[in-house]
Formats: sequence, structure tokens, C-alpha cells
Amino acid sequence: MFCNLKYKTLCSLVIVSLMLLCSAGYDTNVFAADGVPYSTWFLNSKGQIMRTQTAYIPSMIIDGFSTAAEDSEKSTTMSNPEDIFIDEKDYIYVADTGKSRIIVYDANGNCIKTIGEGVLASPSGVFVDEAGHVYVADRGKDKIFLFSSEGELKQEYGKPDSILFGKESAFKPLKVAVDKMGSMYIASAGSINGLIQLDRDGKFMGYFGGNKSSVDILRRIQRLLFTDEQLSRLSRVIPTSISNVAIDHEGLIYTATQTKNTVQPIKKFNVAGTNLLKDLMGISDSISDITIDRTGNIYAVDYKESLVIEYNRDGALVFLFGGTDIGRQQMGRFKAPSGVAVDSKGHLYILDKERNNIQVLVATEFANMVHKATALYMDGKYVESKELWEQVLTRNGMFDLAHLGIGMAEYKQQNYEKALDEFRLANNKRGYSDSYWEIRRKWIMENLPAVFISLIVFALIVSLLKQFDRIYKFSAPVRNAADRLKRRRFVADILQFTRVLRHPIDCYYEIKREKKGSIPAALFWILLLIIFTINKIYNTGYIFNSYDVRFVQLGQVLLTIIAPLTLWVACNYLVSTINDGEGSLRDVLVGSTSALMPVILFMLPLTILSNGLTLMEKVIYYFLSNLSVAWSALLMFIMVKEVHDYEIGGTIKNILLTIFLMACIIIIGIILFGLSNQLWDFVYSLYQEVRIRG
Amino acid sequence: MADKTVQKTKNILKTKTFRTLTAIVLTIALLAVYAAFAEGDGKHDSISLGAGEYLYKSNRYTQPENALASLKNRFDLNGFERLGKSGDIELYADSKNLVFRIKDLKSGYIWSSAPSKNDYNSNEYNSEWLSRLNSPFVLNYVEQDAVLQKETSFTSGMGRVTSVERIDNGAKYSIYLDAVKIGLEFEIRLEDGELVVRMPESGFKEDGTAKILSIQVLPYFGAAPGAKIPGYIFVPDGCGALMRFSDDHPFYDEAYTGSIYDLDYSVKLWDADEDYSNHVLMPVFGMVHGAGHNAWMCVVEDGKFDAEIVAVPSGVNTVFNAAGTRFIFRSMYFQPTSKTMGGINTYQKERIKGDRQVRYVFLNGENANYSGMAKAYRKYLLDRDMLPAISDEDKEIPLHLALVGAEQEPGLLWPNTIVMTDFDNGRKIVGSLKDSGIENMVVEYLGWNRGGVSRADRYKTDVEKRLGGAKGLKEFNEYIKSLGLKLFLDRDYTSYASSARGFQPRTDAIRLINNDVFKIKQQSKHGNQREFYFINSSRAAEMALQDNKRLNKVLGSFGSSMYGDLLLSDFNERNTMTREESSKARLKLVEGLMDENGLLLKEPHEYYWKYATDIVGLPMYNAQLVYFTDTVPFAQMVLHGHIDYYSDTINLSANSKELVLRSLEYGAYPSFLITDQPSWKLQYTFSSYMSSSEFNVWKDEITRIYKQASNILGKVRGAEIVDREVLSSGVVKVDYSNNASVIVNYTKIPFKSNGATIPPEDCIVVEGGGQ
Repeated sequence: MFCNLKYKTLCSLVIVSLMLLCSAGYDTNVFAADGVPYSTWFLNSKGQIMRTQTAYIPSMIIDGFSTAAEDSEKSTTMSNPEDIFIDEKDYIYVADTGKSRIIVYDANGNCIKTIGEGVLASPSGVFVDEAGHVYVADRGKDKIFLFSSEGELKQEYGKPDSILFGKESAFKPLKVAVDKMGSMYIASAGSINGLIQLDRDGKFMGYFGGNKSSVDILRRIQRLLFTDEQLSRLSRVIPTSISNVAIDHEGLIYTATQTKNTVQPIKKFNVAGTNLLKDLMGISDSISDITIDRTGNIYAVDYKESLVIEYNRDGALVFLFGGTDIGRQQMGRFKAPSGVAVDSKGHLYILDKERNNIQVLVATEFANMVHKATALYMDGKYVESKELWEQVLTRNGMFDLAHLGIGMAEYKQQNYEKALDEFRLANNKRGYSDSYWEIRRKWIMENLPAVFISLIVFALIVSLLKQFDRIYKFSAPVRNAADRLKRRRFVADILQFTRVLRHPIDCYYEIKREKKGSIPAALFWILLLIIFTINKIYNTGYIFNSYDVRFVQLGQVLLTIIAPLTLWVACNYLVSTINDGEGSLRDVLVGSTSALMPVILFMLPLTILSNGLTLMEKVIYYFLSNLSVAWSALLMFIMVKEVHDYEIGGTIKNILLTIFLMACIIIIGIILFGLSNQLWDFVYSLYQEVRIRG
Repeated sequence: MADKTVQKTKNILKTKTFRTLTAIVLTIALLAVYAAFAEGDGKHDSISLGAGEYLYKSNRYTQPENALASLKNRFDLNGFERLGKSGDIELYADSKNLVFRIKDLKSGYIWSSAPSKNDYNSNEYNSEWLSRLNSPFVLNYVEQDAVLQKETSFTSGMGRVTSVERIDNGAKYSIYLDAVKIGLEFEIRLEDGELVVRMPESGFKEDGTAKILSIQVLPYFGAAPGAKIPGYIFVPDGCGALMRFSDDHPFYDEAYTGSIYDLDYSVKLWDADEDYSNHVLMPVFGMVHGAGHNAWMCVVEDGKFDAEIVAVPSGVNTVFNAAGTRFIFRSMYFQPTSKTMGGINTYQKERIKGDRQVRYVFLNGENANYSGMAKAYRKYLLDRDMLPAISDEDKEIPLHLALVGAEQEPGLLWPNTIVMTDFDNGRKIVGSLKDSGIENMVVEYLGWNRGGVSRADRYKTDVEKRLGGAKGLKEFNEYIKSLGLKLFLDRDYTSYASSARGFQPRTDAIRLINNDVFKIKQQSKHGNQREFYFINSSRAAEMALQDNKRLNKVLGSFGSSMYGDLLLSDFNERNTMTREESSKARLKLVEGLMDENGLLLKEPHEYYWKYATDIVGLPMYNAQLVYFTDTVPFAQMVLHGHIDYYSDTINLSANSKELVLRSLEYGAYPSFLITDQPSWKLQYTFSSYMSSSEFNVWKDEITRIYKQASNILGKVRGAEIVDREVLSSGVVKVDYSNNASVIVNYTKIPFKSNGATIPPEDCIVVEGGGQ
């Protein structure tokens, strides 16, 4: 769900940005600047997609044509190729699925040799180990073939006959990766248990890194309510099988899964089978291949939207670009990318199954800069990476990863104030909190005596003043004025609301019977609630602030406060009138508002407090905040009971009915809105038909 | 003593141990040498691959030319009648089959409108294709039902010549296609040594139900079979592209179609995916048969506003590489009748009216290449007063400095205006650059209006107060003038918000072919949104003149800058406009915006050129389609010396080093987009692509790059480009009319040329006798 949502946003954004092209604006220039047919994006720490400089430039196409003339006897073009691998010497191995062979090109795109002709049927995966052995996953012959570097067939591995593997389980190898020990990790079509791991002799060693079946809410409710028999009739939830596999220099195994579920599309496993990429943002649900470069950057291609995605070792999305070739055959656009590989110089090779070619993309100065800094940063050399990150920032001041890198370096060098700013820009709450903790500690150490002394002095002065006041009574006029004010009707009404905190039952009795507290007073408190909420949005400490002022709209804020309250008051009143409730509309409004008092009164102090806390003390903040809500809920319950004079059972029934009515009104509202749209469309079509055809 | 030693040594040499030792040592040495060689081989291999060397061999660069000894004639003139002679050109015709041949008397080469029968196997083609190969036109039409577009040509359309009229140096054929009941007049003649083909408006007849959609003129003129003739097609895509002939290439889906002056988005409805469309600024293309031997260049004249350049690589439909002009008469479109995808396919009822004319210029010898075409096209423009004369050459080279004033981001109550560069700081920036030795600057101000850059659709004359208001801008203008520099304010007369003063969407906004109002909604995830319309060109001209009066009152005289990359027709019944009419109105607008500074135009189409004193955003690349083999700076070669043009924004490029080299090669002066404030402030605005623009970050870089450009391009300022040669992959020499040559080395290896060494990724200028 999350990844899909993200993806949608991306699409709409890409489209929106394209629209700019036609209009005035430098946007066109940006595209022209590097002459590539796509914009490049990254995902910032808030999960928003942002434009950045071009990272890769399409440069060459390898399709076997340019070299066919020299070697005319043997055509070296590909047909529906499904996998690509680049070895240590930068030779390019392509699983030429349609022509049942492996083609080897050198880095200039000249075909050097072909492997496995006459042996292979539908090779769909290819892997070359350090010694030059070529492993081929053949989904046509259901086997893994092992060739020597000269192309001689050395071994075949068929379906393992181990009992553990199971006779029923299919063995349809799509892709293969091999670790330094010679164990093969095989992505097999429909294998729900994960990768099939075989040792160098072809013995089954177990399943690896399987996806878990995901369970949605509907399923959970069904499990709760259905009988076993009913459950067995439902279609079984099957975990999605892994579609591709890769291995990096450290021997970590990466898997790609094509799924619309919440399963992470890319995972990285250590030998124990633990996923190390918990935070990776899945952008695509149709990843066809992944590859890992020497610094651990992960490259993936999406075959549906023809996107190239680059993650760093931690799973942060660094670059995203590409787009579908809609028939114009523009370089930098792809029709059905089926493979991705990276060579020792950092060039990207994108294999296209429909275009039967490989596009070579060259990293720009900017991308090289980011890669260098990332490599240092990932090795924990924060201080060394700082200078490079600063360079990146001069190119793109919005690049979050750079701020994070500099923040880490400053923190390491104990420049906490600077680190604080950088973490804030990088939107990294943990780093910010740690820096703040250090700053606060230093402040407390320096100012503790002063604070103590001033507190003591203050207390002394207050007690002295009180003593004097007792003797000279100079505060009498003030007190009298306050008393007079309290006796004013409006002020008294306002103050009535605060009684709910200590004497809720009395308070409601007074509201109902003695008509204390008025509608204007209730409106006053609601206004205060709105003001406090806005204050909360603006002034809550960064660590606890879930809002970004820029994205908050006043209308929305008002709506989230006023709409539910109005709906609640109206529905509760309606329900209670047909349900023997005694409360009038005024009683319900005033009562409901007074029930909100804990929330209103806690909000301001909490906002102030949040500025002095770090993540270490987050318990305090969240406890107080939840306490105020719980308190209000309890008061609401008491309110309904007292105002309408119900028993406990009646109160619960009333509240449930109110909620039900609220839901009904919302649903009817949505339906009416939809209908009016359709009606409008009908009228419009009628008009258009008459106008055009008539 | 000495003798003893010698004796001893001799003895030692004779011993067995020594011999074995020698043998072992020798073997080891041999092995070592072998190993070294073996390793060396491997290393050499990887060096020759070179880091990023592909790039220079890719179609982002121009490839070296292989010299061709001689070029054989493929045609004779047997059975052809001579229609005329002009200059060094003779025109021959086979009036029965409507095949035309051109003889270039200088080189003796014969061009034909239909390919030679020896060059294709007629059994492989159906009668329609055979007809098309020999026909001087291909006609695209639609029947009443408007379901399918159909194509026909002279023979397959049962065409007959109803009358032939001999005119001066040519003939005029009245043609009638019986199959579709369509008539047209086809006039072919020589004029000043050039071939002119004309289809007058008066000749078009549609007597039946078939309606003309488009007519392609001389579709196979000079068509080259596969790679039998080495050569290429030149198309003006972006800055220019070559399609070299080759037999051996992958399958291409379709021919190249470049809409002259870009797509008409009022007709080709918006499709975000399509939008990476070809960018065609000039109505010119051509073909070379053997570089240095023979070539032709075609200029589309009458009807160019609704025309496409079609270039077909061999293998798409036939074995021929061919290029021609397609004139649009009507467009098919989808008329939605409901909001949910329902609708009908239909075609434009009214035909686009007007004469259609193309002109072929023939080139031979050293002019038979794209450089020759650029020269010929420049001459063509100058002869017709469509390009300003040589610009001032005494001044230092200019720097384009675009300053960004303000921009908006969403806020809680109302949008927040972010001040990026106020007028005071703008003055400081210009002053500081001046102090660091940059004498000549073209200063452009973006987002000077109320609300900043993205509110230019609404506020056309109000100056943003936070920048210093009208008073501040006036002072800034005077300051720039006092330095002897030029200030251009960015003006937008394309997009209008409905709230813009004096703008009525109902009457003023452009309507699409399906009668919808052309409106664009822009939205970002950050809550930014705006909605704007495109304005009818003649209304835009009126409004611009009014705005000018208002602004002149406040600011005195000032320069303006504007985009010139969008040309739309308008289907609003109240003020219908074709693209041609629209372009005329735009020119009127542009004339109104001129002041003593001249005019700064951004990505302008060719018809704007005579008004432009400075051009920003002249494309430096092409669309990099797979069948393009080279990128050539054709537009730059035409313009250099006449109009100052600038590189893409250097500080926003991801490859700024390469961009600087490219702009030196292309003769483009440096261009920067600068703000006083750090650019991250723009991250939640529509200008978030300005990812690096802070002056303090770029100050030294601007000076350094300007100095470099000044050292190179200062030597060729005011000169025309006369030739361009690729010395080796990634090394290019550009010759100027003042005898200076600029040599650029893109590679990471030093390059030696005629005693001069060009360091890697650097550029030199050779004065006097570069050739």
C-alpha cells in the first residue's frame, strides 16, 4: 500500500513537472541542460520526491549490429534477452533467451564469443564467479548449467532429490547467484519458500530469504469471525515468490520481488537470513533486476514504467530516472528493461528485452561526486566525507543525504550546534535529538547554579511579599477587581468550564440545571482550542513536531476541529431526543466543549515542554499528551451520562448510536457528492453530443 | 694481475654450474618479459576502452568523416526533357511519369526525384509502394467516416496530368487523382540556381468525399539505397543531427518526423509522455552523398508553419534513406463527448489554406556537408533579411546573468513570498562581477514581479515590494545602464492566470481543436498549485503594449526577455488563428517589447531571429534518437557572429565541465542563473529545480569560466563559422571567418594537432591560418 501510494505520487509529479515544459519557465532549460530525455529524482527524508541534477547520461548502444560486419558468419544480435552480468574484467554476459545462448561482449560492444549453443534452451539468468565460471539458469531445461571460462560445459544441476526439497516442489530456475563458497542461490519460478540454495555439488541446502505472506485487515477480521471450515474455503494467501537475486562483494544476498503487497521489493540478507534493509522505500512493484556495485549501491530496473532506481547501501533512494519508450526510440528511454549491470568504472548497462539492446549510461560529474561521498560515509569516514558532501551541496542545496553526512561529521567533531542545524536540514530526528542532548547538557552544566540561586531568590521574594501583604493588604484592590470580574456573567461562564477538571459531575449538573456556562463561553474555548492547535503546529519542538508548516492549510486545521465536533454535537442531540435523553442542544454543546478541557489546557504547556525534551524523554511527552486525551474521553462519557441522565448501559448505547449516525451522515455525504458528479457528466455529454453531432 | 682475473673469469664461464645458472636466469628473464607483455596486453586493452570514451563515440558528439575518393553517378538523362537551366543547375523532366532529374553542372552529379530501379528489387514491394517510390508526392487523406487515414500517390491514385504549362525555367502540372477525386497543381522550376517546388492554393480541389490530411513533397528526392552511397541526412533536431547511412542497424519502428517550430499543442493534445518531443527551430534539412562531393539542402518556405520534416532511415519502409517535407492540411483528432473517455474520432472541417513551397539548394565540393548547409542557410536568411547583420565585434564577450528575484511557496494562511535576490543585492552581485573583470554582461531578471517567478502568469506589471518595489527596480535599471550593460526583465505573454488583470478566459484563452479551453493545472505534493491558460497571440500583443506603457511610466525604458518556443493555433470562434497568423501576432508583440537594448529571446524559433539581439537556451543537444549518429551545432554555425547566443545554464548542469567545453566549441557565451540567497529556500516552490544558484558559491567559478571563454571566444567574436572538422573522436576544430580556429579536446588524453598540443578536457584557439 505504502509503496503504491508513493509510486502514484511520483507519477503525478513527473507528469506535473512535464507540463511545465510547454509553459514559460526555465524548466525546459533544465532538460536541455544535459540533453537527456528524463528528469532525475531523489526521495528526501520526508519521503517526498524531489528533482535533482542528471545522474546518468545515455551514451552507447550495444546491440551486436555495429560488429556484425566483421564477423558476418555468426550473427551476434540478441533476441528477447533476459539477464545481463558484468564480470571483473568488464566483459558483458547476456542471457540471450530467444536464441538459447549466452553472448559475451567486450566493453566496446564487440562480441567475443557465445557460450552454450546447443546446450541451453531458454537461458534466463547468468552469473560469472571470480574464477570466470559461467553459471546459467535455464528455465526451459529446468537446470543450472556451469560452464568453464572457455565455454565448456562442466556441470549440470537439476532438481535436487532431497526429501527436504519435496517431490511436489517445482524447480524452474530463473536467476542464479553464487557465493565465494560455490553455493548457488536460485530464484525459481513459483517458489514460495524463497531462494533455493544448492551447494557446489548440487545438494539442496535449504530455502533462503523467503517472503512472508502478507495479511491485510480484511483477512484479520475474517480470521477472527470465520469458522475453520469457512476459512478453508477462502483462497490461501501465498507469499510472493522472489523474482531476482544478486550477490555483492561481501557475500550478502539481495532479492527482488515483484509485488503489489507491502512486501519490500528489495531485501538484503546476511548469511543468517536477516533482512538488513528495513527502511528501504519501495517505489516500484515490478522490479525485473537488481545489481550491486563495489560500494554497495543497489541499482534496480522497473520493467513496467521503465525506471532505473539507485539506492545507497542503507536503502535510501539516491537517484530515480528513466521512462518508457513509446515508439520514438529515444536513447535514455526503455521499452522493457529486463536487466541491469554496472562495470568497474561505474557505467550502467540497461538490457532491454523488447529492443534487444543494451544501453550504456555514463555517470555525470554530479553522480560521481555523490558516489564518492557515499562510499566514504558508508565506511564511517564521516569527517573525510564532509568536504565531498559540501561539494555536493554547492551543486544541490536540497540534497538531504549531504546534510546528513555533514551533520554526522560535525557531531563527530563535537560541533553540536552546527550538527543540530545540519540534522534539522536533513530531517534526521535522531541525530537532532542527540545533538540537542549534548547542547542541553552543556547548558545545564553551565547554568545550573544560576538557576538554583534565582529560584531560591524568587521564592524568598514571594514569601516576603506574602508576609507584607498579610500586614499591609496592598493586594486588596487587585483581589477585589478580580472578584468583580469573576462575578461578571461571561467570565463566570468561562470559568465554569474549568470546574469540570475537579468536579465533573457537579459541573455538568450546574450546566444542565443551573444553566451555568453559555454558548458564547463554549465558543470562546473552541476558539482557544484552535489557537492552541495552530500554536502547536508552529511551535512544537522539532523532535515532536509531526507537521511541516508549509504543508498545513488553515482550512484543514479548522475542518479537523470544527467538523467532528459539530457532527458529534448534532448527532448526539438527535440520538438523545428519540432516546429519552434530557439534554438540550445547548447542554450537549456546552457539555461536550467542557469535556475537551483537559486537551485544551494541556496543549499549551505540552507545546512549551516539547522544546526542552529529546527523544530520550519522549515518554514524558507522549504520556502527558495521551493522558489529556484519555481524560477528555472519560469526561465525554460522564457528560453524556449526566446531561441526558442515563444509566451506564444507556450511556454506552447512546454513544454507539451517535457514532453510527455520524458514520451514516459521512457515507451519505460521499454518495451524494459522487452522484452529483455523475449527473453533471450526463448533462455535459448530452450537451456535447448535441453540439457536435447535431 | 689483470691477466689472472681474465683467466679466472674464463674458467668460471666454462663451469657447468654457471651454464645451468645462465640457463635458469635466461628462462626466468624470458618468462618475465612474456608475463610483462601478457599483462601489458591486458592493460592496453582496458586503456583503449577508456573511462567514458564511449561518450565521444556516441551520438552526443560528431564522428570523424571518412574521406571518399570519388562518387559514381547513378542516373543518366536518357528520355528526359530539359525544362531549364539556372546557374550551374539544369532541370530535366519525364513529364509522363512525373520524374524529375537535376544535373549539377559543376560536379556533373545527377539527382533524381525517384530512385533508380537498379537499387531495389521491385518484387519486394506492392504496387502502392512502387507508386510511392516514383511519385513526386504522397497524399494522405481521410474518407468521410474518419476512421482510417489512407495514403495514395500518383500512379496508385490513378493520377493523370490534365495540363502542362511551360513556365520560365520549369513547368506547371495540373494533376488529378481519379481514385480519390482530388486535384492539385505541381509547379517545378529553377530560380537563381536553386530548385523551387510549389503547390499553389488555387490548385487544390476536393471533389469527392476524400479530404486531404497532408501532402508529402518529393519524398524520395536523392534517396540513397542503404549504405551503397556513403553519406547522411541532416535534420534540424535540437541544434542539429545527422543520420548516417548504414545497412546494418537494428529495426527502427518509424521514420523521423520533426514538426517545424515544434508541435502545435492546440491540435496534438497534451500527452505528458509525448512531451519529450523533438525541438525543431528551423525549417531546413538536407542530404549528403559522399561528404565533400555532393549535397542538397531543402528550405521549407510557404506553408512552413504547418509542416513536418520526414526523414526515413533505410529499412523502415524501403531500402532507401530518404527525406522530404510533409505539409499538413487537416488534423485528425478525438472529440470527447463525455468526461469519462467517451467520444468520436473526427477531422478538422476547415482545411489549412495557403500556398506550399520548398526550395532545394545544391552544394558540391567542400561545401557538400553540414557546414556547407549551415553556410548556405545563413546566406539564405541574410538575403531575405531574416537574420541581423554581423553584430558588434569590438566589445568583450558577454556573460548572461539571470537573477531570480522572488518565488512563492504555500503557507498556512496565504502563500509565502521568498525573496531570493532583492534589487539591492542584485546590484551588489553585478557590481562584484564587474569588479572581478567581467566587462560585458547581459543581465536578466526573473521573478521581479509580485509573487515572483511562478506568479508571472498573474502579475505582469506589478513589481514585488519585498524586492524593493518599482523604485528599487528603476534604480537597478539605471545602475545597469550606468555601467553600460543591458537589463532584460523576464516577461511572460504565454500563460495567464484567470485572475490576471484584463484577462478573460472565455474570450482570450486559446481553445483547442476540440473546442476545450487550453488550461493547465499544476500541482505539487507540497501543496503548491496553480492553474493557468494560454493566451491568444493577438490578445497577448495588445496586452503587452498596454503593459509596456504602464511599466515605462514607472521604470523608464528597459529591456525585455521572453520565450519564443511555443506557437499555438487558436480554435476559439471569436478569434480563430492559424499558426502562421499566430506567428505574425507574436512578431508584433516582440516588436513592441524592443527597446534600445534589443531583445533577449529564449529558445526562439527561426522567425524570431531577426528581432533577437541575444538568444538564451539555443539547444545544445538533439533528442538522441537511436538512428541519429551525430550531434552537430548547425543552429550555432548559422548564428555565430550575427546574434549573441549563450550556453545552457552552467550552474544547473550535472556535467558542467563538459558543458563549458561544449559551449566553447559551439561558440556559445557562458550563462548562469544566480540568486543571492541559498537555493534550498526554493525547495518547496515550483522553481525547486534551481538546485544550485547561490552567488557566494558560484562567484569564483563564474569569473574563472568567463575568463576562459573570453580567452577563446574573444578571438572569434563577430566572426562567422566557416567550417567544422572532427580531428579524432572527441577532438573538434571549428574554423572562423577571421582565420582563427578553436580546437576543443573533450577526451582525457592530450591531443597533438599541427604542432599545437591541446591538453585533456581543454580548448585552444589558433589565430591566423588555422587551416
